[in-house]
This record gives sequence, C-alpha cells and structure tokens, in this order.
Amino acid sequence: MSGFFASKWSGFALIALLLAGWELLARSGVVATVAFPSFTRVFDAFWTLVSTGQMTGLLLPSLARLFAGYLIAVALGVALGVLMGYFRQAYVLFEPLTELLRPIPSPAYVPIAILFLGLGNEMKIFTIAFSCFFPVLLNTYSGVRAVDVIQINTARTFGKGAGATLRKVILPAALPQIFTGMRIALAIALIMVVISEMVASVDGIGYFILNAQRSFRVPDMYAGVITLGLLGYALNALFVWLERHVLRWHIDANRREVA
Amino acid sequence: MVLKRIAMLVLALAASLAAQAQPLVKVRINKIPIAPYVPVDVALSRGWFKEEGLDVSIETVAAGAVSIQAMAGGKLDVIYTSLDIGLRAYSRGFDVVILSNQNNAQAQGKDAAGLLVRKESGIKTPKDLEGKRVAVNNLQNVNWAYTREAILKAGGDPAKVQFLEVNFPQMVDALLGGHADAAATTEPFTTIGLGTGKIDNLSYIFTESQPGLNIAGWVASAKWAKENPKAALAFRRVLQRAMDLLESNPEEKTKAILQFTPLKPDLLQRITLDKWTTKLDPADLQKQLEVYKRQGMIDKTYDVKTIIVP
Repeated sequence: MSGFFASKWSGFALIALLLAGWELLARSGVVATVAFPSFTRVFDAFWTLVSTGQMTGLLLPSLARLFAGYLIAVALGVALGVLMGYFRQAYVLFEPLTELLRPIPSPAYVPIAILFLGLGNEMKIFTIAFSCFFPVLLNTYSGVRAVDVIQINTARTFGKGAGATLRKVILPAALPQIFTGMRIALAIALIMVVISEMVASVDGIGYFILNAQRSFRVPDMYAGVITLGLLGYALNALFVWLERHVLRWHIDANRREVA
Repeated sequence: MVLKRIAMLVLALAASLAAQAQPLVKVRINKIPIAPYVPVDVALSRGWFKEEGLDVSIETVAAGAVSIQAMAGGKLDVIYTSLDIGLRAYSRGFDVVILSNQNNAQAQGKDAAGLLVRKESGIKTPKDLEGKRVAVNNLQNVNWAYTREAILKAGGDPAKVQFLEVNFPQMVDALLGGHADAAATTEPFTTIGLGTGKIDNLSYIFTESQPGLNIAGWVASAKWAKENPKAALAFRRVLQRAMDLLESNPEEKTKAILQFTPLKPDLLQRITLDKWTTKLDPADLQKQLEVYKRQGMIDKTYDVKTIIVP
C-alpha cells in the first residue's frame, strides 16, 4: 500500500477521486446545475470536440500564436540575458528598464498593444512575447552571472577567446537556469494566448471558450477549460522531456532524485 | 368632519412612516453607458427608487453577456441587457425572467442602431462586409444577429464576416483606427461616429429588419423576482416614470442626455433615440426567437410569455 502512495499513480487516483466528487456534487443539485454541469456532460462536450475533429481546428491557431510569441521571447530573452549577465555595462544599462517593465501585469498592456498593433495576430504574438520575455531574461542573466568564475578562468588559461568561452563554458553552465526560465515562460505563454484571444479573435481555444460563454453553452465552456489544462500538461511534459534530453550531462552531475 | 380629516391625516402619516420604516429592498443592477440607459440615471439621481422602497445600486458597468453570468452567480438581481440574452439564456437553462422593456427600435426611418463604416473604406452595402471585420458589443447577441440579417438581406454570406467584441464606447475609435471595418453601434455613439465626418451608415439594422424591435430591457433572476414581486413591479414603475418624464419634456430629455452621456451639445440635434417604454411586445420577442433559431443561436423556440413578468 505504501508502494502505491510513493508511486505516481496516487496522483492520478487523486484526480479520479476529485472527478467523482464533482460528478456527485453536480448531480445532487447542491450547486445550481446551469452553472455547474456534471463532469459526464462536460466530458461529453469535450469528446464531441475531439471526435468531430473540431479540436484540431481550435488548437492549431492558438498553438501557432503561442510558439511564435514564445520563440521570439526565448531568442530575445536569452540574447539580452547573456549580454546582461556577462557585461556589467549591459547589466547596469538595462536593469532599471527591465525591472520597470517586468511587473506590469500582462492584461494591462493588451489595450496598448491593440492601439499599436490592432486586433490581429501581431497583437497576440507581441503580447505573448512580451510577457514571456522577462522570466527568460531574468533567469538567463542570473544563470550567466552565477557561472563559476573558476570555469571561466580555466577557459582563459586554455587560451579560449570570448566567443568560445561563451559557447563552450558559459552557456552550458547557465543552461539549467535558462531552461527554468523557459519553463516558466511556457506556462505564461499559454495564459497570454487565451487572454489575447478572448479580447479579440475569430479562432483559437480562447475564442472558443468566450464564444461558448456568449452562447450560454456552459458544458462547452468547461470543456474548453479542461482542454487548456490538458494542453498545459502536455506542453509541460514535452518541455521536461526536452530539458532532460538537452541537460542529460547536467542532471547527473547536479540533480538529485527526490527520495 | 374635521375629526375625520385628522384621522385620515394621521393614518396617512402612519402609513408613510411605516413604509419608510420598512427596510429598502436591495436591487443590485448593472449599467451600460449608452443613451438608452438614461432613464435609469435620471431615476437614480432623483431618488425615485428610494421613494418606492428600493435601494438600487449599480454594482458593475458591464454588458449583458457578462452581467448575466454575475446574476447567475447571485451577485446581481436585475440586469439591463439586450433582451436576446435573457431569451437565449433561458433556453439554455438559466433561471431568468424578463421584467421590463427599456428601448425599442424606431418603426421606420432613422434609428439609434447603425452599422457604421469609414467613408474611405469603399464599403457600400452590407454584402461588402464579406471578409471584413465587424465590431459588435457582444458576440452572438441581438446586434450580431441583426447585422447578419442585414448582410443576408443584401445578398451576402454572414459566415464570411468576422465579428469582434468591442464595447460600445470604444467602437468609434476602433472603426477610425482601422481595427474594425464596421461597427454595430447605438446612441450616442452612432451620432458621435457620424459627426466625425469620416463615417457613413450602411444600415439601420433593427428598423430595417424588424421595426419596433424590443432591443433591450431588464432581465431578472427568477429567484429574486419570486422573492420580491412587489419590488420588481415597483422597479418597473419607476423606470416608466422616468421614461414618461423624458418623453413628455424635451428640455429634461436634452438635459439628461447631456448630463449622462458623452454627447456634445453641438451633436445633440442629430441624435436619434430609441423609443423608451417598459411595455414588452410578446409578438416581437417571439419573432426574435425565430430569428435566433435560424441563426443557430438557440436549438429550439418556446413561448416567450412563459418568462415575461406580467
């Protein structure tokens, strides 16, 4: 029995238990049925989306926007982060600005993005990129600055130039931290896709949820939310797999398995 | 004789004291900052709700589609919304009743609800909206439905038109800024838009499809209406009182519009208001249901009389 609680199956069992609880609660009528459809009804709506192929049509536009914004944020965040981490002049130049912009909650600059970029994909991708940029940036320059100075000096004694040092010593050493930033940013990207699609869109999962609400199709609304949960889980799992692959050598040296 | 008079006076005083001693019934409502809402602003500013024993408070400024969710969650009691939202929510299991009308489309000619486009966009008929973006205040609501009807009438295919959700006060900016190619507006934004000199009107979407359409009114939570029947009727009475004042007194109407909407005095003469009335037209609402079924907004129609508060 203790084996079960130590295994990952206990987590899935918890979810199953909560779903059963949801079903019972909804059916008992304790909570108003219109606002709280039973899980079976929601799953029905969800399954209809999947089996009719509607789901791909919903997810593809959202995923496209998500990855576009995310990759832009990662590219720029890593680039500036390395600069700021490695060069003190770059750090002092940009730090006040980034610390000023970073705390602005993402929904707050959506109206500004609309003013400049309209209501189309450019606005959405910009919004996603802007929110994802900061965690990547912060984690990158923290990672770069934390690189053991002994490693950098060793590279210097081997006669390595700045470029090679960067590629072969600094970036690899900072990579775990950079990946942490990227993982945080991925979760943010999903949030921002939905927010930007709810503000103005004609397709995507965020639009689907909003439209379901506007048509009072409540089970569809819940199905959309569940889809987001599953999507987030899948994206995260994909990321962890990628991370484990890229940081193979790092993990063995620096990580501990939780007992 | 004098004694009788005094007795009546004492009784009247006692009654009014008793009425005032009764706690005011709380009525939590929403607000949509458009011209049709003005009678509510007038009634509130004059304390008429309090006179009828109602403590009316505006809890949120949000359109019908959002307000009805809050009402379903128990945070609002009666909401001002396009009536289609009440009709459709009911068909999906929401426990609501239609308490009162507020504003109807004109029977003919110019109306408050326009379908505005930029002059330089070259859009001449609703059919030209295919492949373009139209701003509506809520997706899948009455403005959305009747804009689509206008497109159909002009020989176009509404499925080829993109609809965006934009609040009424932002519509003219969205149009001028090129974020939308057309906007389904109401007053004062129809007049403000046309007053810029850069905007034309394609169609009066309600008057041309269904003259006298019951556009917006008050939808109440069925639970609240059942628990507060007197308050519900009192609420409606106060609304009618404010509407009567404004309809019969042009000076008061002008003052109210200038006070409660962002309309500037120079455009005042050009405004075309909806007709204000609390009286609902069940035949019109039934016709709306049929349109909504045709547009795929609801699965089946029902007898609207079942949810109208008499």
